[in-house]
Amino acid sequence: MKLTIRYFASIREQLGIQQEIVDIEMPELSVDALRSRLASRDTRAAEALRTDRLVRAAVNQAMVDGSFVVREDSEIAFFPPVTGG
Amino acid sequence: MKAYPDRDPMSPDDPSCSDISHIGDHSDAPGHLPPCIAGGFEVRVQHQALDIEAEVAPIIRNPNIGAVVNFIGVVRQCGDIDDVVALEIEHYPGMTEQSLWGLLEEAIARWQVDAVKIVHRVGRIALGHPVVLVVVAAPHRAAAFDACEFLMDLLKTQAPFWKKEIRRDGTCEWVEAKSRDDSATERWG
Repeated sequence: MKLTIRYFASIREQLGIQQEIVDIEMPELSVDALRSRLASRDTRAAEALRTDRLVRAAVNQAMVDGSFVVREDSEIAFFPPVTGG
Repeated sequence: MKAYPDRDPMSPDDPSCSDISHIGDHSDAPGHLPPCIAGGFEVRVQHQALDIEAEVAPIIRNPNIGAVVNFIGVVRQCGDIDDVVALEIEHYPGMTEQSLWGLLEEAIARWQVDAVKIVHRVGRIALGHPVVLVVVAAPHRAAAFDACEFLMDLLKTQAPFWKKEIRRDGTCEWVEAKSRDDSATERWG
């Protein structure tokens, strides 16, 4: 399953990645599970996406919670709590 | 500019619009009609500085509007304490506009309003300058006040913007989200 992952703000800076495409084979892949997979790749990712850190997610540009199941060809964005306005 | 499909800005041929052409307008050109928005729904994300008067004037010009509430968010001038000289705002192009439109549509569903405009700056913004403008026009002020407050409360917790403080020495620090902003959304259900 091909997914486009985007990172914003402090998470992007910590990871050093703005955007990437990943290929993951997993039925019923939730946003939380995806985050764990991404975090497990290296120490930098583990720090940026660690579970005790507040990380929000959007799938195809709509905010979702961690249990949301992602589909093929989705765009998933990870970012800190927003601070607009 | 993206206009909400069901309520387009009035055309100059609309009789209501031509009625106001002589009110408060200083144009001498014959047949000239001032730009106007009767009802209208607009969302904009921009790098350019906000011209508050230019954004609000067309909405006020409509004689049917009874109440117009504006909120302006300004970059606080903290003075020399934090040594902050500017903010830099990042956003998620595509999602930003979609998120703001979603909030606007929810406001329209909850309150009787005639016009809503949300304009948010991104990029570098100096102290004392506006970051965000929310304008709500309604027949009566209760709806205008409530809708405006709702839009700001939800924008602060849902719209994908992130602020960074830029210091005089060039260093930066990301602004942390405030728990009171999350609390503020609870009253809207």
